[in-house]
Order: sequence, then structure tokens, then C-alpha cells
Amino acid sequence: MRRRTEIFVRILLGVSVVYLMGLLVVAIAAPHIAPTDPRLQNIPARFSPPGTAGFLLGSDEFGRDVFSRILFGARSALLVGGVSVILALGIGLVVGLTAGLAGKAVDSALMLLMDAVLSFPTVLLAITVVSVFGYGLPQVMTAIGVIFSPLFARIIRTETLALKQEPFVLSARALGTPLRRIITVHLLPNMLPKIVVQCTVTVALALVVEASLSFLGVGAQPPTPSWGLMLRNARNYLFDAPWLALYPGLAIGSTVFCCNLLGDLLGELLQRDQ
Amino acid sequence: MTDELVRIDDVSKVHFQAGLFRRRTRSVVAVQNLSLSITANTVLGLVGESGCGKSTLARAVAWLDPPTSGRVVVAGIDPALGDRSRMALFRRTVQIVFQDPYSSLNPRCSIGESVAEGLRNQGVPPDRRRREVSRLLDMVGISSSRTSERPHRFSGGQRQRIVIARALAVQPRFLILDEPVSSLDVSIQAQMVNLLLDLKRELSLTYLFISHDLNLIAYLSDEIAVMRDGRIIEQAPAEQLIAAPVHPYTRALFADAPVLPSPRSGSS
Repeated sequence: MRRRTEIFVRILLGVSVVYLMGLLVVAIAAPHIAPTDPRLQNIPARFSPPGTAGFLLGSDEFGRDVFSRILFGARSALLVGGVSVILALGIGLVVGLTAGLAGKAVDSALMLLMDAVLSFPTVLLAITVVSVFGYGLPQVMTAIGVIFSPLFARIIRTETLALKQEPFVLSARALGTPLRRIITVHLLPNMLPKIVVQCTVTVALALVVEASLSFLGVGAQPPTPSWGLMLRNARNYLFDAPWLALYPGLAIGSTVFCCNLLGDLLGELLQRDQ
Repeated sequence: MTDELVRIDDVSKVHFQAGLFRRRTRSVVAVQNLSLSITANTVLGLVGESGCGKSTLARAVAWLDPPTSGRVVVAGIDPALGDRSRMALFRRTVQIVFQDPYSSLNPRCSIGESVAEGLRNQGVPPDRRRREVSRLLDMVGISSSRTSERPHRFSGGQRQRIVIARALAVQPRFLILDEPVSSLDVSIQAQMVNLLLDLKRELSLTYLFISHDLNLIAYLSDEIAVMRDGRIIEQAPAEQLIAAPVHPYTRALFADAPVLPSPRSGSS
């Protein structure tokens, strides 16, 4: 019984890894894989249903190929997911390590700030930031990075507080090891599993926020191929051309699902190792 | 024989439980106006029940969690004066070994890297570091062919030997041993204690040996101090304290202990 769940867990892990790796390949190689330019309009062939010659997943209101747009949409999805999570991780590392190492006053102040950021509804805060600094993907990535940084800061602070009391860290200090080396050799490698798990989960969150912002019209701007933006345009033709909403929806859903799955399973596996 | 190596003078350690915005709400006095002096090349055994402040004292003396007030001077070095070179010298002179060998080694580093840590901090070049690590591991009875292995491949007793090798790498004069054998099997305990006594003789070390195990303390201490509620209530040469404890608490402590072997002079 236990054996069977173990195998099932490993298969799921494999599936999500393969899916995400595939997505990465698609995002990089989109210009070579895509049948047409995702911006190429073909007005006579607009609203072709899926399966029509030349339109594997149908065409949209301008006769653009949905399949090609999905493939290119993977680019903005992974770009936003990757960049915003790296930004969130960077801010989280600085804040979390400082809070964990600097002492009680600094710790209280920084964590209060992080709690303040976390207390805003995510999408609302993102809209505010984007409205102030302008629409577009770079602004969206920055906003998402800042908004999700408390998730990393909290984990890194908690881990730092726990690890710095561990005898091996105390011994390193007793041996006169400089702070920089204590951080890079003794603290970070030992909190890496938790950080990796948080990264995969946060990529999923970032994808949802990006899609929401693009859907609301403050994220990716036309004619950039973006899954959220495709959903936004599809809402006018939901009954006449349901495939316009179906495929970007599936793309977002399956990617988020695989990220979450990967995060959960990785967390479980790494915890079991300890 | 009466050279004083370690002087602990009126040391107190108070733990503050800080509230929001650092309002001090409650405080716990873990160590209270404690003074001790340790003669060079001797073992001072510190006994006391759990929670009496032994480990807090160990960390304060090692300057990992510096005392709230009072002075610690080891071999003439006062770490409170706080300039870099003095601190580096103090770190080389004083080393500490903790109770739990499983968390005393970084699980992500090979044991060779761990043992070499102090040498690296002193800027010893890699090839000399390697030779030194082999020598140190030999000294504590770990095969030097295993330097590249991670700690999880070693038993508790082996890990504690590696921890001792790591501490000895910087050639300290004073070793604080905070319950170093308490989490090991009884059969391994005796080996460890004898290793510690051998090393002390070879390297002319001075120990502050903290334990709640009276038999152990009686076996290896030259002098014994009894700690209770953050204070030393009695301190005397080992034979004297075991033969004729003065303080009622000490008497009660020794009366509760199961078996007492003869003190060290008789067993060697």
C-alpha cells in the first residue's frame, strides 16, 4: 500500500517536472515551433474552430492562430513567473537574514513591514502599483516580486532564527568564522530545500496574478501574446467561440497545477529525507 | 600548578523576554554573580541539575552569548574589550563542545571541511590544511581516509570525536565541554572520557567539564563546583568535595547518586 502511494507520488512528480521542462523548451523555442507568427492577422479566417486547416486550436477575432499565441504566451508566463520570483527571493533573503541575525528591534520592525505588505489583497496592491508606475510586464513583474517577498522573508527569518542556535553554527562562531561565510556555508545550504519549495509555489501564485492583471487590462498589453490577455479578449465571444477561453484557461490551469504539485511533492520528499 | 588560566568574575546572564517594540516585559536570571577560577592543566567539573544555568554559563564563557555583566578572562585575554585581533586570539584560545553530536556538524559539509574550518579562518593554505586535518582525525581515532564523507555516515560517538578534532584544530588552551558524553551510549562514554583525558595530557589543555553525571565528574575532575539556581554553592578539590561535602544541597546530590567509584587518583 505504502509502496503504491510512493510510486504514484514519483509518477506525479515526474509528470509535473516533464510538463514544466516542456513548457520551458516551448517558451525558448516558440519562434521555431509555432506554425505562424502569433501577431499575424487573417481577417477572412477569423473565428475558425479548432481543427480547421492551419488553425490547430482555432483562430481568434482577428484570425490569429490560437495555438501559436498559446506557445508564445508561455514566454511571458515563464518570464513573469521567473523574474518576479527571483526578485521576491532576493528581497526576502536580505530582509529575512537581516531580521533573523540583527536582533529584536530590527526584527520587529522588518516583520511589521512585511506583515503590512502581506495584509493588502494581492491583486489590488498589484493594480495600485501598476497604475502608479504604468502598465506593462516589467511593472507587473516588479509589483509581483515586491508583493510576494514577505513569503520568502518569513521563511528565511524563521530558518535563520532556528539555525543560528544550532550547535554547528555556534561552533563555527566559536572558531571565528566570519559572518559572510556563516551565511553562505552554514545557513543558506541548510534552508535551501524550504526555499526551493517556496519558489515553485510562488511561481504558481505569480502566474495567477499575472493572468489576473492581464485579464483586467493592466498587465501585458496587446498585441503581446499572453494567456491572461487572451482570456480577456475571449470573454466577448464565450458562446460563439468557446475555444478562445478554453485553451488559454487550460494552459494557465495546468501550469499552476504542475507548479503547486511540484512544490507539494518536493516539500514532502525533502521533509522525508530529513 | 597554581597558574590560573581562566578567571570568571561576577558574571551574570539575564534573559529578557522582549515584548513588541522591545518593551522589556519579563526577565529570567539564568546565571547570577558567578565567579570561578580554573587552574591551568586541570579539569574543573561543574555539576548541577538541569535548568540550573550550566549551559548558559558555558555559552557566556565562550562568548557566544556574552554575559549581561561581569568579566571573563582566559589566558589574559578579555573578549569584552572587543577589538578584532583580541577577539580572534580569544577564539583560538577557547573552544566549546556541545552535548548533541548530531547537530554539532553541518550536514551539508564533509567532515574534512568541518575540521578544517578553524584553519581556514586563520588563513592556513589548502595543502597544509589537508595534512593537518588528517593528523587531527588520526589523533581522535577517525580514519583520515574518510575526510570527504558527510556526517550522516558516522555514529554519535564518531561525530563527537570529529567535533573534538575540529575544536582542537585551532590549538586552543581551554576547552569548554558542555555535557559532551551525555547523549552517547554508556560503553562509548568511557572511551570518550579517556580520549579527553589523553588529549588533555598530550596537549596540556584545561577543561571546564559540565555534566549532571556525578560519577563522571568524580572520575575526571581535579576540582568540582556545584551549581544551583545560577550560583556556585560549593567549590572544592574533588577528593575533598566527595569525601566531605559541606553544603546540604551537595550532600543531597551525592546521596542520590547511585554508585560512586573512587576518584581519579585511585582509578589510574
